[in-house]
Amino acid sequence: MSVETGFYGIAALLVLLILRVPVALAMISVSFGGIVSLLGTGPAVGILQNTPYDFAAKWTMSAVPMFLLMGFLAFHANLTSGLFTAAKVALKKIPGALAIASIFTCSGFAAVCGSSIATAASMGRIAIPEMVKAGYSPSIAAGAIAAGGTIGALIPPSIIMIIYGVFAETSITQVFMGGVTIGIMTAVAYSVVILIGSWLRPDLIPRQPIEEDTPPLSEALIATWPVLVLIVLVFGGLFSGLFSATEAGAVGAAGALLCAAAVKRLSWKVLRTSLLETLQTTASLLIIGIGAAMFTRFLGITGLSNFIAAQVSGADLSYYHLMLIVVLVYFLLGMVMEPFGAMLVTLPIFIPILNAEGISLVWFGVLVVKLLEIGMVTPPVGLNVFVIRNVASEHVTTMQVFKGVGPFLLSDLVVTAIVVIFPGLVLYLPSLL
Amino acid sequence: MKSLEKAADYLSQGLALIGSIGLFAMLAHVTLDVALRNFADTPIPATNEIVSRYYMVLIVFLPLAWVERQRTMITVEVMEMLLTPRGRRISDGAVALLATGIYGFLGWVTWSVALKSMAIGTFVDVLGHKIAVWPSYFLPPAGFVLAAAMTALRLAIIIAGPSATAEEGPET
Amino acid sequence: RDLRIASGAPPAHPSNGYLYKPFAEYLAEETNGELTTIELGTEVVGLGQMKDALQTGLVDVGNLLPLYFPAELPNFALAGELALTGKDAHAMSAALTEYTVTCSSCQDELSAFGMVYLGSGSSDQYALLTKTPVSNAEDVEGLRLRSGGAPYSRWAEHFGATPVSVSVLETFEAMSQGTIDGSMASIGDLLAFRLIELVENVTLLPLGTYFATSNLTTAAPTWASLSVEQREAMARAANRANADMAQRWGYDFPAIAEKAALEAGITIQEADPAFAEAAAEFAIADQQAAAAISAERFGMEDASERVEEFIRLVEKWEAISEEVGHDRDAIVERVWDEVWSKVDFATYGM
Ligand code: NA
Ligand code: NA
Repeated sequence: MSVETGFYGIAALLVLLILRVPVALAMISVSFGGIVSLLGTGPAVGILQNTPYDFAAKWTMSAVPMFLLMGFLAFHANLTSGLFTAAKVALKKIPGALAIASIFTCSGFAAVCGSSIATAASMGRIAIPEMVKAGYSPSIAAGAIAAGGTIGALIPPSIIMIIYGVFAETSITQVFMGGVTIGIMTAVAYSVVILIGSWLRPDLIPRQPIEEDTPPLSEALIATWPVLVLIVLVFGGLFSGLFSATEAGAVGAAGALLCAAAVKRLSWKVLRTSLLETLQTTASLLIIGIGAAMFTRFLGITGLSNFIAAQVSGADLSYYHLMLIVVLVYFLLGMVMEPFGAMLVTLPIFIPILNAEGISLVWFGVLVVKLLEIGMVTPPVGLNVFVIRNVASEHVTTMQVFKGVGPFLLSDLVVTAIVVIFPGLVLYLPSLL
Repeated sequence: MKSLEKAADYLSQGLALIGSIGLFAMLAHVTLDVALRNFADTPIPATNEIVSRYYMVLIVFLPLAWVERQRTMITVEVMEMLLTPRGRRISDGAVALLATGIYGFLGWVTWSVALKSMAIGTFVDVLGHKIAVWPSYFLPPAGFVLAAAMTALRLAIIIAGPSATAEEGPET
Repeated sequence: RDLRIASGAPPAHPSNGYLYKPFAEYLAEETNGELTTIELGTEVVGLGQMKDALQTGLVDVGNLLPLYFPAELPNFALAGELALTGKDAHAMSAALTEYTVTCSSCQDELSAFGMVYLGSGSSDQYALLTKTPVSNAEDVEGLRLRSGGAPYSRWAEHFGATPVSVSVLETFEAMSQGTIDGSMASIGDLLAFRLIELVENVTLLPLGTYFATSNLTTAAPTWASLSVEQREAMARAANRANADMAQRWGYDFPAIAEKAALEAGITIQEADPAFAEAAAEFAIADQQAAAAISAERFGMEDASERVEEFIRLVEKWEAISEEVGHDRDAIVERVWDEVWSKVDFATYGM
C-alpha cells in the first residue's frame, strides 16, 4: 500500500473534473480504480456495493434534507425576508450593507441549524438574487454566502462538533461554547472583507449605502416575527429537551409550514417548489457525499494516516511548527475529502500528540472544525460551493463561486492565525462553564 | 426518439413526485413522533430506523434519474468557456457514456446486494421488535439503473445529431 | 505476509488499543515475524461495514459485531438475548468462546457467513447511569432509559421504565437534552461517551454485561490460505488479546471511570437489596424469554437446551474465574487448555 497511489488518484480526480465529469461520478470511479489497483477487484466491488447505502441510511444524515426543506419553505413563503430586511435596515448606512446583512443572517440561521450546507442553501436562495440586483458581482455575492454558510457548523448546534466531542472524548458543551466565539469571529472577519472590498473594488461590491426605500427599523423588526418564531421553536425545543438536533430540522420544517399558513402564504406552488428543490439539492449533494466517502476510504487504504503520522512524529516540534503542520494537513485534506472522513483520518494521529503537549482538546476541536469548514469552500471539492451553484444556477458557474470565495478564504487564514496565536480567546467562553 | 424523450420526462417527473412524497412523509413522521413522545408519551416505534433505512434511501437514490434528466448533476465548470460547440458535444457525449457505465455498474453491484438481503430477510431489532429492512436495499439499484437509462438516452440524442440537442435540458 | 486488520473503533476504545494493538504484537511474536499486520482505520472500515469488509477481502481480521446480523448468526443473537446473565467479564468471554467453538450449528452459521471465529470479550456489569438518584424499584418507574438491546428493553419495561433506542454516539445529546433520563450501560460510558458531564448517579445492580462479540473475526479465505501452524498461532495470539480486552473493558477501564466519577462528585451506590434481588430474579426469568424468542424467530427448535448449555458454561467459567482471582494470565492459560487446545486447526473453520 503506498501513498503515491493516493497522489495519482488525486491527479486523476482533477483530470476527470476538468473534463466535466460530474463530481460524484469522478470520485466514485477514481476510488474504485484506486482500490482495484491496491487490493484487487473483490474489496473494490465490496466498497462500491455498500458505501452508497451505508452513507445514505443514517439517522443523523436526515437532518440535511429536513433543514434544507425548512430553508426552502421559509424562502418560498417569504418568511426569512423579514430578517434580511431588518438586517438591511440596521446596516443600511454601511458600504456593502447587503452582503454584511447576509453574513449576519447566516449567523442567525446558524443558531438553529446544525449543518453548513443547509445554512448556505437557504441563505443563497434569499440573498444572492438581491445582491446581484443591487449591482454586486455575482461571483462575490455567491462566494459570500458559500463562506457564510460555514458559520452554520461553527455556531452551535453543530453535528460535526458533536462527532468531534465523542471521538476525542472531550466535552461537547465546551466545544460548542468555543464554537460561539469562532462563529462570531468568522462573521466579523467576513464583514471586514466586504468592507475592504467595497473600498478597493466598488465595481464588484457597491460602495454606496442602500438607497431603496426601507421601512423604519421598528417596522422591519416586527416583520421578522416568522423567523423569530422558528428560532424560538427550534432553539427552545432543543434546549428544553423536546427533540434532538437531528429532529430539529423536521420540526423546523413543520414550523415553517405552519408559519407560512399563518401568514396565508402557503400554496400548493410553494409546497411543491420547496419539496422539489430540496429533493434536487439532497440527491445531487448526497451522491457527492457518497463519492467523497468512497474517496476517503480509498485514501485511507493508501496508508495516508501513516504518511501523515510520519511527517509529525520523530522531530521535536515547537508549538507553531506543529500548528503549521495541522493547518496544512487539514487544508490539503479539505480540498478533496468530506469533513467527517478527514476528521477520522487525522484525529488518531493528532490527539496523542496534543495530549503529550498538554494542548486543550476543546480548543483543538474548535480549530479542527473551523479548518474542516474551510474545506467546504476550497476547490476542487467544496460542498458549500456546489450547493450555492445549485441554488443560484441562473447567476453563477461553479468556478465563479470558487473565485468569489477567495477573499473570504484569506480572512479565514487570519482567523485561524488568531486562534493559534491566542488560544485563550476561544477558551474564554468554555472556561465560564 | 421524441416518444422516448416524452417517456423519460414522465418517468423522471414520476420519480420526483415519489421523492417529494417521501420527503414530506419524513417531515410528518418525525414531527409526529416528537409530538406524540412529548405530549402523549407514546413515541412512534422505530422512527429512527424507518427514517434512515427507508425515507433517506428513497430520497437519495430514486431522484437520480430526474436529476440527470434535468442535467443538474454538479460539475466543476472549469472549461465551459473554452469549448467550441463541437468540442462541447464530444465532451457531453463522453461524459454521458462514462456516466452510463458507472451508473450501470453501480446498479448491477447493488442489485446483487439487494438480492442477498432479500434472501436473508435482513431486519433490524428495535427494542425487541423485528423491523424488516431488506426491501430498502432495492432502492439504490433502482435509482442507479434508471439514472443509467437517462444518461444512455442522452448519449443516443447526442449521437443522433446536433439538431436533437438544440433545445437543451427539459424544464422541471 | 501482512494481514489487514481493522478494529472499527477509535484508538482509545478497548477493542482498538487493548485488542487489535496487542493482537498485532502477539501475532508477530507467535509466528516469529512470519505474519505481520497493517491496521486500517475507522475512515476505511467502521463497525457498520465490517461484515462487507470481511466478506469481500478488504480486511483479513476484523471486529465483527454479530448482533448487527441476527438473521445470519442466530446463535450470537441468542447470546445477545442472554445479556442479563453476565456478571464477570472474563467468565463471560470464556463461556461464549467455549460455546461458539464447540457448537456445530454456530460453526455452520459462521462458515456460511464466510468467517472464522477466534473468541469473544465482555464488558463489566452494566449499571444504571442516571440524572436522578435511584436506589429502589420505585425510583426507576417512569424513567426514560437508553436500552442497548432487547433484554434491556424487557428489563426496563418490567420495572416500569420506558426503554429508548438511541445509538451510543447520540446518548450524550439525548441525555443533555432530556430526551432520556439515563442509560443502562457500562460505567465506562461515563468517560467513553462523556456522560460524566451529565450523570449525577450510578446505581450498581445485576444488569448483565455486553458479551455477544466476535473479536478477531477472520475472513474464511484468509484462514484457508494459512498453514495449520499459522492458524494455531493466530488462535494463540487471539486468545491472549481477547483476555487483554476483557481485562480492560471489564475491569481496568471501569475502575478508572469509577475514580473519575467520584472525583466529579457523582454518587455511586448499590441498589437496595430488595431491588437487587428483583433484578437478579428477572435476569433468571428472562432466560426463558430469550429461548422463546430464538425459537420463534429462527425456528431454533432446541433453543431451551442451547440456553441451558450456555448457562452451564457460564457457571463453569464463573467458578474458574473466581478460582484464579480474575487473573488475566491465568485466564489465558485456562481458556487455551479448556477450549483451543482441543481444536484441530487442520479442520477448524474450514
Ligand atoms: Na449551527
Ligand atoms: Na474542498
